[in-house]
Amino acid sequence: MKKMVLVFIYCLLVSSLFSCEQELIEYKQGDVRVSIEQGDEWLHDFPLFLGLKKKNPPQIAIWLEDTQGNYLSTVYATHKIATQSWLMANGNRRKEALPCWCYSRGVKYKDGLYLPTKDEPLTDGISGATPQSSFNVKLSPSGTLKQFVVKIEINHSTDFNESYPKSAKKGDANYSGGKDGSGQPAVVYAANVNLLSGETSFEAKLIGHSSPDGSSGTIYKDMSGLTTALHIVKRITINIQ
Amino acid sequence: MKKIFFILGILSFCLIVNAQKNKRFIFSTAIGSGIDMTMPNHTPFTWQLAGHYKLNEHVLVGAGTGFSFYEKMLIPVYADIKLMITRPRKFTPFIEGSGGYSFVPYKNTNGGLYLYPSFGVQYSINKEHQLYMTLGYEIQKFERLKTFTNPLYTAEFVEKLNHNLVSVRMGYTF
Repeated sequence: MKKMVLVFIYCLLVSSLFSCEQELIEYKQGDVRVSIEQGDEWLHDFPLFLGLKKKNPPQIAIWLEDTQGNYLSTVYATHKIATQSWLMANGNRRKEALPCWCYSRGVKYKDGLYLPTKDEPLTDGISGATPQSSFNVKLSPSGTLKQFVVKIEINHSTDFNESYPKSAKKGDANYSGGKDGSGQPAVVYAANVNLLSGETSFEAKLIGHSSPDGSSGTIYKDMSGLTTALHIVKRITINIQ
Repeated sequence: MKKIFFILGILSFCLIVNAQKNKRFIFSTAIGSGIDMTMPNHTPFTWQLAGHYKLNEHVLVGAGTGFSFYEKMLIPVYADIKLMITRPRKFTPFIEGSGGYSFVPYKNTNGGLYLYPSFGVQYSINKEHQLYMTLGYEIQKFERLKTFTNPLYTAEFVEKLNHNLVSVRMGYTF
C-alpha cells in the first residue's frame, strides 16, 4: 500500500513536469526579432586555477543607432558588464570588453570610464545572464521607429592569439588589458533596418573590431590579426514578423 | 500555482501520515545555504521536506519538496535515493542523490532541472530521531522573461538562469 502511494506521488510529479512549460515570448506582426546564432567559438576556455578551465560564453551588447550614427538606446547587455560582476578579473574593470558600445552610449562614470559600475549598474530590464547558446531579442517598435541600425558587439576575455598575446605591454598597439584582459578585441556587427522597405530579413555584417585596450570607441576595419574571434558568431539576422 | 500547492499538499500529507503509521517510512526536514558559483549569483536559503521508504538497512528511496530562495522563490519537487554506507551507528555516513524539477510560482517564468548529489553524516540521537549534515552540489535551472520599454520600443528576451552551488544542509529525521 505504501509503495503504491509513493508510485502515485511519482506519477503525479512526472505528469506535472510536462504541463507547466510556457512560451515566454510571443511575436506579433511588425515585431522585430534579433537572432544571434552561435558559432564554433561561442564557448571559450577561461582559465580558473591549477590548470582548470571553464567554458565561458561571450560578452554581448546590442544597441540601436539612427541612420546618422547617433546612439538611440541599449537593447541588451550581458550581466557581467552591466553590473561589473566579473569573476577573477583582479580589479580590472575590463574597459576593453565592449568599448564600442560603451563609447557609443557615452555615459561617463566617476572613475572616468564609460563602463557601468556596481553602484550604478545598467537597468535590470536590459541586462541578463550571459547566454550559453544562440539567443534572441524581441523588439516591438513604437510608431516613431522606422529606420535604424542594430549594432552588436561581442567579445571573449583571455582570447589571446599571436597578434594579441598575453605578453603585450601597456602602450603597445595590441595591448588588451594584460593577462586578465581580452586578447583579441571585440568584434562589431551592424544591420541597417528599414521597416518601410517591405523586406522581412536583414543580415548583420561584420563591420570591424573595437579598440584592443578599450581606450576609444573607434571601429577598426583591418581584421587581419583576428582568428577565433571571427567565429564566436555564425550569423546575426534581424527578422520582421 | 494552485496545481503546485495541490501537489505539495498531497505529497506532504502522504509523507506525514505514512511516517507516523509505519517506521519503514522516515520523514525528514532540512535547511541549508551555499556558495553560488554562477553569475548572476545569489546566496540562497533552502528549506526542504522529504519522505523516504526504507527498502533495507542501506537503501532508502523517497520524494521531497520545499522552497529555495534565490532572486525568485523556487519550489523543487524531486525523487531521492539515499545509500547508507555502513550499518546504522552513532555516526552513519551516507550518499544521497536527488533529481527533479523546480517550479517557479510567478508569471512569465519557467522552471527547470533540479539536481542535488551529496554526501553526509547522520548522528543518531536515539532509534527514531537523527540529525544529519550534507555537503553537495546543487543545480537549479529556470528562465524568466525580461522586459524594457522606452518611447522607441519595447524589448523582451528570455534570461536563462542556471544556479550551480556548493551547498551545505542540516536536517532532522524522525
